[in-house]
Amino acid sequence: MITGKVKQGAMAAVLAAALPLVAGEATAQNRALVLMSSGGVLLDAQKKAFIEPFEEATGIRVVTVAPVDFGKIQTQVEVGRVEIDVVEWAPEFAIRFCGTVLEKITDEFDMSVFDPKYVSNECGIPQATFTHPFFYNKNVFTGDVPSTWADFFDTEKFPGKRAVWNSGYGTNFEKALIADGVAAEDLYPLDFERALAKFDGIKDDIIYWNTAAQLVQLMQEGSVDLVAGWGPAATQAIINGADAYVPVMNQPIMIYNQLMIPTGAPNREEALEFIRFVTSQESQLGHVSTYPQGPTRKDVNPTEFANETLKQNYPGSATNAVDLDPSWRWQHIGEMGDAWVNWSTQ
Amino acid sequence: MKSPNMWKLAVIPALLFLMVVVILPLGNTIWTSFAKPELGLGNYVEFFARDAYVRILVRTILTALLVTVACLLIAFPYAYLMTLVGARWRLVMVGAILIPFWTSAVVRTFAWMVLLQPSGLVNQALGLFGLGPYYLTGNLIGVLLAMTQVMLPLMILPLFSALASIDRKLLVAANGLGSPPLRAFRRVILPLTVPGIVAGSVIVFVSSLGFYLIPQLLGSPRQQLLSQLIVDEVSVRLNFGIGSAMAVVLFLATALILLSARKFGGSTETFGSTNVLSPRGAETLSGRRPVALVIFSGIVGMILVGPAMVLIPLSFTNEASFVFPPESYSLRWYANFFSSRDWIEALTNSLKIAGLVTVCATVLGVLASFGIVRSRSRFGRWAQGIILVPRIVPTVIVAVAVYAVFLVWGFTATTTGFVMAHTALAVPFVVVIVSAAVKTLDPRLEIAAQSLGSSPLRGFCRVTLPLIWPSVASGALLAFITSFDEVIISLFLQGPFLRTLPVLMFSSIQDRIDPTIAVASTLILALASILIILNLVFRKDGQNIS
Amino acid sequence: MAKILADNSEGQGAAVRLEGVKRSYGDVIAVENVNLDVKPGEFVTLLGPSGSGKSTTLNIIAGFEQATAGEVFVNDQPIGRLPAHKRNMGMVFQHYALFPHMTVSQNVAYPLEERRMAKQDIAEKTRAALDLVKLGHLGDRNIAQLSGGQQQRVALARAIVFSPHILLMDEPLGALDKQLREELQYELKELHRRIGVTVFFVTHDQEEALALSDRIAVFNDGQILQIGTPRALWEAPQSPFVANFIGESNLIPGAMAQGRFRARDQDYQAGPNAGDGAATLLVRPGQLRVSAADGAVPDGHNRITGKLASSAFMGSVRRLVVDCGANGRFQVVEQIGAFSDTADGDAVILHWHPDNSILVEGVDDTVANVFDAR
Repeated sequence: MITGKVKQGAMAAVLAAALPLVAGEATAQNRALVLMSSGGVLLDAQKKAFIEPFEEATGIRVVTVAPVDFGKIQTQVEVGRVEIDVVEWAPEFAIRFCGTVLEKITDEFDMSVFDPKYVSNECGIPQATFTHPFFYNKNVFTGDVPSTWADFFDTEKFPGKRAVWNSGYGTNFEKALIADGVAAEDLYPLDFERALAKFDGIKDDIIYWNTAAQLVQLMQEGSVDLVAGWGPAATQAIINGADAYVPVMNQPIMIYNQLMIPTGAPNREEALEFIRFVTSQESQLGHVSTYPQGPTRKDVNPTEFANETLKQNYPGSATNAVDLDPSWRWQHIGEMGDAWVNWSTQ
Repeated sequence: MKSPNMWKLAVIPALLFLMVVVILPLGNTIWTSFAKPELGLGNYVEFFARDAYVRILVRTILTALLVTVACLLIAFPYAYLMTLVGARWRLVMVGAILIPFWTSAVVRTFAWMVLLQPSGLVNQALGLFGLGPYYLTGNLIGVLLAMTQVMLPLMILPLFSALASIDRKLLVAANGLGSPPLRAFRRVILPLTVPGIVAGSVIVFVSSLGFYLIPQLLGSPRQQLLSQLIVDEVSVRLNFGIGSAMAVVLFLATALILLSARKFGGSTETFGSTNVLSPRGAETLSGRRPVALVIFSGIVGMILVGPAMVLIPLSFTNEASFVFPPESYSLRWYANFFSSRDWIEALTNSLKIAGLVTVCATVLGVLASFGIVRSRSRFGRWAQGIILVPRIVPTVIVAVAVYAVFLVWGFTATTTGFVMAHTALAVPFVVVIVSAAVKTLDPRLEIAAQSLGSSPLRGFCRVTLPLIWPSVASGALLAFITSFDEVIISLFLQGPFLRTLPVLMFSSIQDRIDPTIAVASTLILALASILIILNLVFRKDGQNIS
Repeated sequence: MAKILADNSEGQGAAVRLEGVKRSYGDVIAVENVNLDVKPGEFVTLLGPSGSGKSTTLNIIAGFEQATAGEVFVNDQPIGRLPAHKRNMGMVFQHYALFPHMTVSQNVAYPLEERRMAKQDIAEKTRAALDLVKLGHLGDRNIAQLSGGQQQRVALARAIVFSPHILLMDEPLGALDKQLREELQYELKELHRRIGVTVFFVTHDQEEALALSDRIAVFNDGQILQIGTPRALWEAPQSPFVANFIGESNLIPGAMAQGRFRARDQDYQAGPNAGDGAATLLVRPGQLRVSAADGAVPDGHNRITGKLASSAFMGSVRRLVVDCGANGRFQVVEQIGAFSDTADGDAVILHWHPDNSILVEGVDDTVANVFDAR
């Protein structure tokens, strides 16, 4: 029979024992910032190209979080508990949330160094470009090889499994429309029905991938015949041994990422310092010559690459790359997601 | 013989805690589903108006049903054989059930990913027969396989309890009355097992409704389930309104099943009190052991235990891939694990949180157990119902509810937040196990101790505590493992400076091809094995007493 | 308090007094108006059917329950506020309540350890106590290995090892078979004589109460109906309930009018000192005589005619049931050497001397009587 007093005493003792442990968490992190990015192989490359040099140069620790979860940032800003200091993500979000979830920061930078094509708002600092091309397995297609998006969707001419990113926010609609004969400049507004009708034709041959890891895994296994992939991750897979895959740099979708700072970021100063470091000429040049991304600065033009594959996949090598329209896309982002979910879950 | 009213007080800490950490947030979720973005039924109308959502709801229910049926068909022969074999083999068969139960969900799912990959062991085996390779992930096959494996223990244990309690003489009697063995089985054994079948099916079905990890990691959009949709709405799109409405719909489906199960003779009580730690000992029954049954059970046992074991050799691979078996071995991924700040921090966080949860959940759970058993009141039963809620409601719902309020309270990404949420999940386990022990305890022993000169507290420490110690220890271990393995709530609560081991594993699995995950898995398996052995030791002590 | 806590090695039990003790749970009264004055070393039994309040009274003395009103005194000091573990009373529980995780010796040593006695003394006293209950050789056994009788003895040793002034026993023999029970009753009595402790003994078994007690307090409905020596209760019950509960009896409910007792048109000669009003006539089965219908009946005897409904030979006694029709059914016990020459179905005369019947005031409908169909 425990009396109330005894119970209180026991509880107090337990709490007292637990408190120091809980309190320990509050230990101040000596200058740090939190970077949210897509992670994976990109992060590995970024670490070498500029994150580790930055840490060494400034003594600021960069904690990385992956993948990008923009909803989380939005929530954090709404409830006033922001954890993320820098996020690298698509310009759609920078346009959509500029001045609300994201802080206007372009005044802090010399924006004239960037290609104006990539300066699309007051919140995003252009970081890198990359492509969504497709790849084919040269062991499977030995004679006639697929060379256009139309070929990618043509299961009669090129039968086989096709790896596709499971995302409505990605570039699936654009790819299908181009394959269906829409001119690059007439893509917007996107015709969802037309695009999905094109996808219907390959639905039974689709292997979905959600993450970079799954994409790399599929390519390392060599178990798919065609891959519509993220250029950088796929290239990295090829470098790591998936050399059966050949990139088709014909009308790849050209994408760029921006660096943004959430409103109320706890380490704003460190974040600005980080972005300045990352977007410097030296950092960009180092990065794009070791990783299949392209520069956003006008003064970065790599001539030497770490290896031949990187050169083949260099985003700048495509002459007819298809540009996205971020401003149309951010206004219709919900519809894009819904249309895709509705189609793909059937 | 102090009045039972005093005992009610002992329930209050746990009750209050669960009210604040679980019930209140669940209430908030229900409210949100009607109130955000505007008051009304808008979210429900939207949910049922969208084909995709309704389809996913139906699919969630169908998948749960499919898993339940598959589990029942596989579990029954296995449970039946358990009643036929001797004590030693029974222990082996029980071990085969316990090992997956004590193995982290992330580890198990990862093991299936490795096994089912196009170049994985399963396809290699099929290749020997000239079949394949097949795509086993990214479709229903892999999802069903993994779900069934995870749920099998929950089906086998109640079936075994039911089968073991049948007087085998009945079968002899039935034979004597002229029924051939198979008919006797159908007419005598099967009807008597119905309570076990109902209990097992309800547990499996309800648990299956909340699957998140497996379809997320092994499935494709065509296998997408409601939990994934909820996580997507709440965590990615921040639509707390419709996300909450989905959670409420999922909760209603769960409640409906539980209520109808009650009609069939099962009850939430059987649900909560199924003791997953030590299936009730029963006499070995002599009977024929058909060879086919033994072979079948052997395969089931392998499916239960095998997958996770694959990760041990994989952790020693020399390659940067999941190729199995590895072509050469090395310790490089261990070196990688122990030199990585991320992994070490995650491991430390997990151990710290699980340790705190063990203390909190055990104290709250033991107190509550005494309160529930000794107050012998309607209040006690009511309190027990509340305390079991986190085990009955799919975890994804608890996660969404807890996340929404913890955000406002500022508990996300804090140790306190993790400890509170995990404790809420662990307390029911402690209560189920410890209250079973307290029930068998003679309350007069404490009174006797007082008559012999012990103060109430000393009597409790010298008499009561030693008697229930094995159960308390079991409960504490289970609390530890509950916290240590928890993924879903942790995914919501994590922050850049506070990630647990399963969370880091989950994001690594999605992020990169990195055998360090296999190293983490192996470490978790090793820890789980130590805990199982400890638990068996405690239980053995307990048997000496009784 | 010091005196209460002192040990009892000088062999002197404590005096215990209950004054107006009451215990209620909300509206339900468990016991009320309990007054009891017990001399040092006395063996007092609280006797009554289950739910009569005897166990509650024992628990109040032990301190496991608090009296709602009234007070318990030990050696004239009130102890109502003293918690149970400071009352220094030995207690033997129904089903023993031995600690299953300790050996026999550990159980017995427990109260000594709680009193922080020196190790040496604990070992000595434990051995002595076990010897006293004839279990000296079983000290290392586990409790589960003992028989019921052995467990009972361990419980007893544990309750007396610290030499309490007061020993409380709650149906200690209830779970044992008849033969063992009788054997232990004898031992208990012997033990009580040797250690001189004041004993409160709760039972519902009147034979046990009669065999063991110095005095018996009969409980019913939360009240003490009567307190007295076994003999006084047997010979002079003050209520139909006590009359029925202590020893076998035939009860004839009726009324006194003008010095005669009348029940269902039949008049009986009753003993002296009876006033008018409802009353019950009590005749013990052993005091009744049966004669053949044509046999002689001594003068001055009450007599009623009936039929011998059944008879059973039981060795030293013969038990008969006589059906007297409207006058009721009677239990009769004949001693060997005084068996009547009757057989089942015979018409008989039932008779007794008025001095052998006891007149009790009042009628209690809840107590079985001769008019009930038995």
